[in-house]
Amino acid sequence: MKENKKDIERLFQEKFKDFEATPPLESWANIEERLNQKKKKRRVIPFWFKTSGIAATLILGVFLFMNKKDNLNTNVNEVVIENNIITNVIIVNNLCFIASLGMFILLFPVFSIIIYHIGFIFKIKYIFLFFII
Amino acid sequence: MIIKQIINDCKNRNTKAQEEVYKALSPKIFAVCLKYSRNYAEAQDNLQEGFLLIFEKIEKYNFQGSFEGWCKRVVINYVLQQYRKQNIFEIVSENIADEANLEVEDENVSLDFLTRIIQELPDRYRLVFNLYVMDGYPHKEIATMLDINIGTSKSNLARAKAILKEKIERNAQMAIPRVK
Repeated sequence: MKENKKDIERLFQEKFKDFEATPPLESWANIEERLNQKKKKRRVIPFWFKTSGIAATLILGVFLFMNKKDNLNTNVNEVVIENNIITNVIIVNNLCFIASLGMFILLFPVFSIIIYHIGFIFKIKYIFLFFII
Repeated sequence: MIIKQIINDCKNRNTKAQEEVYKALSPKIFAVCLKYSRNYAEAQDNLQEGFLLIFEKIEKYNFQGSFEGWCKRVVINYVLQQYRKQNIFEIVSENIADEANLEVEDENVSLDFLTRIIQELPDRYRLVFNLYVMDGYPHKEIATMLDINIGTSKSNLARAKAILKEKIERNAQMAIPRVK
């Protein structure tokens, strides 16, 4: 009688040693759905970055083109109306300042994306520091 | 056996690779969930959340130790975290002497029955019993994991074993007339 008896811990350890249970079929479908939701959420930010980058370069291109035309016009003005030279120079200077500021603001996300991607490809975490130096 | 390449694909969020891992490990992980949960439905929830967590944290797996063991730990920690949130650990401390004679006859006890009586245990008894008996964690570690003291862990284990023994014996007595 004693031989049939077993310590309760050993009984459970032996019985559950190779215990496996097939989960219900819908479990994987549920997990898959949630995984896909997560993937979509992750994609939102890079997609937004890329589009804004493209938009920024387009706007910049148009802006530079227009600016070039303006510069040509001011040169003509300099010759024709001498009195207005000073005011024109101020306007040109202001335009240059606004253009460089605009360029910086517009180009910043583009450069940061490029730098980020280079860093990501080569797995360099602190790539920003190299560029700052 | 899951090969390194599949795990690396999972790190890159490849759905096919994730499905492979699920197919290979879900029976074992579901077994863990059944033991640690209150019932089948809760085990199913824990399985789903557990696997989502495995795929989320898989980048942290550095190929040291078995992948299956790592996955089990992730799921067990998730389950413990859920119970911690529910504040189930505020049970009055009982001092039950560790009975030496906790022996039962192991004939006619099905795995289903044993699973059910584990699930029926009060939450903390079930967790301590599983961690200590099934997964081999020492009392010291269990105490840290459940944020209780070692004495409580020991007395919870003794209490769990006493309850299980009683249920197995009652079941055996009830089974005899049925056989005849």
